[in-house]
Amino acid sequence: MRPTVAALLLLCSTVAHARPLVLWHAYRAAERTALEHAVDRWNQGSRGKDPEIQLLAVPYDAFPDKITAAIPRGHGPDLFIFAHDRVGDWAESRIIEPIEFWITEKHADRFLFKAIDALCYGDSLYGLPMAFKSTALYYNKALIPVPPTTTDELVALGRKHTHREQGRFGLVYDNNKLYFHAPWLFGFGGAIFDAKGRLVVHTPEATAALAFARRLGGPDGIIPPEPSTTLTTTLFNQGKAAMAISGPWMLGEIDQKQIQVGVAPLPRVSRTGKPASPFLGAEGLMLSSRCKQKSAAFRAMTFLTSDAVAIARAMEARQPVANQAAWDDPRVQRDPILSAFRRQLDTAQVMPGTPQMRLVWSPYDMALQKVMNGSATPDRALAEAQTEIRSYLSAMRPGARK
Amino acid sequence: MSAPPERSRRGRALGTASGALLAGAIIGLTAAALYLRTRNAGDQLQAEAPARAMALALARSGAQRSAHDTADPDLLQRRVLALAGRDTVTLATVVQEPRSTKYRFLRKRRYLAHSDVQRLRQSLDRRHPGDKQLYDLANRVRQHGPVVELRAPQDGPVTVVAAEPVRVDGKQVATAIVVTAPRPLHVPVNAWPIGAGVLALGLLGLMAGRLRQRYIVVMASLAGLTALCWYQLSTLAAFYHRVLPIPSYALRSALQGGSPAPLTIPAWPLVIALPLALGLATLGHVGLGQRMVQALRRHRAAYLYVLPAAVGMLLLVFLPFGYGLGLGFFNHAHGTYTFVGLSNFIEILSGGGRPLSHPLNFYFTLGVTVLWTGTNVLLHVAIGLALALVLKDPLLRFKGIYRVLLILPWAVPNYITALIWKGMFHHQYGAVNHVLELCGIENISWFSSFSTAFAANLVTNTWLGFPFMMVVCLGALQSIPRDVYEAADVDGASRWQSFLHITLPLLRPALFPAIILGTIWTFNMFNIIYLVSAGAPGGSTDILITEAYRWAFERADRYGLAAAYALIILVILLLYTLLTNRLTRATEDTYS
Repeated sequence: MRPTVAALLLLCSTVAHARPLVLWHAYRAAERTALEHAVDRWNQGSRGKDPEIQLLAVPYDAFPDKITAAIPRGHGPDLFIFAHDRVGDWAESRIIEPIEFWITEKHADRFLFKAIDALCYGDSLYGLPMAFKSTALYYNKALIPVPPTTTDELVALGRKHTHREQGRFGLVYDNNKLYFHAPWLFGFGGAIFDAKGRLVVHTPEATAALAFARRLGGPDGIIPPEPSTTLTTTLFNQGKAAMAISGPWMLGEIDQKQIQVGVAPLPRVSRTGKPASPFLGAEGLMLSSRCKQKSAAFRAMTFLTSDAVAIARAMEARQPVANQAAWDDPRVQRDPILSAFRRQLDTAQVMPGTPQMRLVWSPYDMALQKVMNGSATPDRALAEAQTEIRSYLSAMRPGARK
Repeated sequence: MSAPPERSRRGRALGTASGALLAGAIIGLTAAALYLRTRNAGDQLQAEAPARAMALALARSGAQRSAHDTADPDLLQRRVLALAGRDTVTLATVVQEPRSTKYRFLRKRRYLAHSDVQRLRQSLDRRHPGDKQLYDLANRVRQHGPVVELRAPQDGPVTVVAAEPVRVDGKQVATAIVVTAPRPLHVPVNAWPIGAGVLALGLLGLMAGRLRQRYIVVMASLAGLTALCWYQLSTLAAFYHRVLPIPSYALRSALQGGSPAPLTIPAWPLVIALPLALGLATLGHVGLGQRMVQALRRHRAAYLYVLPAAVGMLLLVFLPFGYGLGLGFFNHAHGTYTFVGLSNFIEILSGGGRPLSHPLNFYFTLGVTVLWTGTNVLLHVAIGLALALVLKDPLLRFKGIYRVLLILPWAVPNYITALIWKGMFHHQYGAVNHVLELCGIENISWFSSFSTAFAANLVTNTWLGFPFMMVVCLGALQSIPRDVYEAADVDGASRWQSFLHITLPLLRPALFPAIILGTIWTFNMFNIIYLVSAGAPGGSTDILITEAYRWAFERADRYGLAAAYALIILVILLLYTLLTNRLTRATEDTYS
């Protein structure tokens, strides 16, 4: 037995030195190519000094489950790129490594504050931001010469372009999902958790936001019935939707030869005067707690999020990168779509990355669904959602665990 | 095998006696081991106690130091070394203060003493991997309080780490960390291969030689006892050596490296050995052992052929099944599982405090599931039978083509069919509404009310389900002899009468198992519900299996609750099968 263990140990130690850093990502199309180019640069520059990076594309839907399952069992990647909303869970179960030990204030200043702050959980930093993603208003320039700046304008423009019998609509977005509903929720002054972390789903503001969304999506609204993200892309591509609410990922799916696409920040809510603030998601490059070459991995992280690489990613893939320097670069500034997403960032609200937030999605989506198909009033739907989420939260509390 | 009755009786008595002895020994030893294990778990390992005490002492000295004599680093150094003792190589005090007003994750870190390095260091070194571990540990202590853990650091054997916050006037000024000396890891010979080897040898001997029933019992007892003693001994050894010398643990940490693996003494050998030994003893007592061994010996080749499949079943079916069974009694949060007894089952069966009309109430979902299963099976059988009767007609031409066309829905993977139907039910762009429009019926928003969403699911699943029933009926219809119908014709029976009194009763033996199977399939038809209506509106069309899935993967990672759901589904289906089995047997009796 003992020689076997010794032999295995020896084997492991020899393997460990030659082992490349495995990086999982869920990028597709241009974003993927841009990342591959960045990794090529690292692999060429680091020959002999640092381990190479090996990329593995993992489908987005399966990504978080794979991470949760693979890393604790030692089969996971050394590095991976994912949205920040699971950071709380992964930090609690010690799947990802805190990295603030290596970070200086100067280094942190490289990034847009909201993007790096999103990757923070419990006073520790769990990743370096690659990009930020939030929804914004897409509009078809052929139909809408000037994008609306208030919701009243939005509704008026929407009405003008809605012709149900022809299947044409003023606006399209997936109004059954909290992620896409969030701009209205925050624009009307609503929230999900208050400053003290208490659940505030059922409030007059949130009800008003939901009533507004119902007016948009109801029988005489400006949104097609049963919208989905696929329908959003399809209608916008066919020129049947004058405006759409979606994120930067939709850019790659739009046929820009057919459609003259414009992007603008979401309008102000006329009733409150507040901007409609979408959820901000930060895509972080995170380090597995089981990585065997952590300092080298951190050097690779620093490289992939460096200003030069970020500018290249922004230019090549039109990725809204998280580095300040990229936005100061005139080439990036000249891109009207990217700068629209950058302006949207100023009003966007960082999506909570806490484990508590994960319990909110499903009941809230259900409330939206009920209101949109008219089977419940906004008030009742939110009251039910609040009760439901509260019961989930109480099941999660340590008191219930032990 | 007709052994003389007296010998068999004596053998049985011997079997009983040794079985009882074995069971007693196992229970006693298990109790002892369990006692030790709980003692270990309660205090983690005794080895940690000194480390923890040291951390506290250091914390106190550190507190005094930061409060009073900051000018004399040598004094602290001497104190630290005095505290360190021979078991400890690393001692540290890490101070953390907010450093940046902008970023909440940036903190000042100072490092006061280290018994390894013979001098005082003022700050942590960013390039030193050990320093990062100290810093992260200090951070964890700051957020979660004292930490005592067993860990296998990245390069090196297992160590015990204890860390405590140092508080002065209620404010944390430092973190005291103690890392005990890495000991040479003693890896004893693994007990289990030996135990299993003895057991296997005993069984092989039994199969090969001409041995009698009592020898099974004796050999099995010997094997079981040997294995168990080894296990208990290794537990004791682990306890004695303080740092766990359990090979699987050491191996795992060596292979995985990195973070601390959970501190557990594997209990599964016990879990397997206990029922195995008890089972063998019972078999011996009942006399089944002898028959089994004889059967094994007589059909040795056959059992050998079956062995791979049996092992596969064990690994792929029974182990996950047992795992799921156990999971139902645990609650999951952030990767840790806590035993909660029956509370998952109570939560489900009490409706979780939701009214009966609430879609997440168990009884509501159960009602939907039963309705779903009932309507589906009824439609499948009715359509399947009707089509089979039509296809049976000897005068029908192009029968083969019809048959292929009708079986086609069954041949297409069901999730593809589900997605196609979902598209067809779309309010604005779906084919179904287009057809309705042509008929002058107003567009229906299929997924916005329970009845229409349920109907959409039902249509999809009927499309998928009837071919199976049709094929079963066709097969059964072929086997009904024609002369029965001729006799009925002669007697002047109408077609309806011969269908009712000849076809239906003779179809029953083939149809009943198909219906049972169809019911179970439909009861757990995840794909259709999940893909077509996705539970809309408001989760009301969810059936039990999709509900369980949502609890595990969409709502709150409540794997335990989902496992409990699965278990309840199992019980319901088991009862249903037992009931229908009895019914079928009864019907078989009436006409055979």
